[in-house]
Amino acid sequence: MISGPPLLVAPAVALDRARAAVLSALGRSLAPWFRDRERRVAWTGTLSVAFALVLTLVAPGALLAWGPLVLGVPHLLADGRYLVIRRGLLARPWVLALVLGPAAATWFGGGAAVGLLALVGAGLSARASTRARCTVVALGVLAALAAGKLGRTADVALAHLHNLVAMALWLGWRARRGHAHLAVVAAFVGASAAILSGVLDPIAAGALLSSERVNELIPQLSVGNDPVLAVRMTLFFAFAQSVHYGVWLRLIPDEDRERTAPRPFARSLEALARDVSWPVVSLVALLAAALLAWGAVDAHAARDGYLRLASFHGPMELGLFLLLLVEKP
Amino acid sequence: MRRILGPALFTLALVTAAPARADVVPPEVTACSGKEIGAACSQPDSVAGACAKGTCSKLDYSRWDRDAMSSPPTMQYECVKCVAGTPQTTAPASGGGCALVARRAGPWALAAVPALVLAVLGRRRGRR
Repeated sequence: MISGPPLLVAPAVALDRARAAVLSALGRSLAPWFRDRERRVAWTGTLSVAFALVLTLVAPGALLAWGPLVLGVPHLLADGRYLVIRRGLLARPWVLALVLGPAAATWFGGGAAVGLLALVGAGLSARASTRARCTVVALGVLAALAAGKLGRTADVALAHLHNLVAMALWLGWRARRGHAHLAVVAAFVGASAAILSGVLDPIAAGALLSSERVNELIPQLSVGNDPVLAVRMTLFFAFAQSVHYGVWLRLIPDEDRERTAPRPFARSLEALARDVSWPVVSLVALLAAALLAWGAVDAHAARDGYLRLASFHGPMELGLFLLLLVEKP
Repeated sequence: MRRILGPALFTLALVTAAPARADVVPPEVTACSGKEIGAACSQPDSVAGACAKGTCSKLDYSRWDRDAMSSPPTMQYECVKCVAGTPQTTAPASGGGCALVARRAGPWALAAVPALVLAVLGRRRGRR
């Protein structure tokens, strides 16, 4: 039994018991699918893509409203844990100031134009060749200028892009010895193509148009004059956002562990507390619970509140993605 | 250098792309975002104006019968937008002060949460 706040530890222990019961019922034949990381990541990733697609088809409005409320705060913690803490960036105050500073400025209404200055910060603080650093800085300046010119279009583009950055980060997280992970990529690309080409319109578009607050959701997540394309962009966002939560909460944690064997939920919670401390885990759990309670009263207002809180993480992910890219040995 | 090629091409596409014309909130409405009626504003063509109540239109996706219509019907709604004229200073409506304080304090309150997390982590590192 691990030590920690009982309210947090008890659900993890209960999940472990449930998983042990399911595994013993399934028998030993399935053990290799759980034991081998390559296979485990491939099937859990593909399953999460399939689950996201099904929810996008049948309940895109609920997915857009409740997805961030249920998984948003935990995924922000995973962002900080895997991109900042486990990368040792807490010991590099210049990275924190130059990348997280512009990203946090989005809380005060800067939008993508200010947030993308995180790329400039990444270039300035990267431990890389002068050429690579200058390229990232130039990239950041151009991106911020472009965002300033494009206005809301850039905000929407950044929101879509950050969902894809999570996939790119996961793909490059570690060297791989097989091709099993490509099943997840194929599932994601195939589902994305199906949504954006309109093949799934007969099912998904009707479900989206009958959603509550559709007149606010579609303009928030799409650009352009074409309403058909606007609907598909909104559906694609609902799908990609869900996959991006799965990447941060399931795939990257699994890839980041030194041991390849699966870990009990209670041990994962203990490892999280070791990385970020119990007070932070408790604070985040409290915030997640408060957001869910707010959602029970007014789901859309709670989602808007979460989006204000999370506005920093898109530019932060993009900036730290480039930092990792140029610092990669 | 090849690693940066993808992001570089994306940025180039952003730089050279034309802004989407159908940004749903009209620019004259954006110009009055968070402002009181009568406050000074600048119209999209940089002409000075004042925020005033008016009528705007937008697509109504909730009433879109995709079998019968190629695009959603348009709906009218009341909005505050920037119109040419002289600004007037008006007292905020009842409750406006509190709403304004809440609006301004909201982002700071939100910013306090991650700041608290970083502070806890920083103290923890300091103790090690």
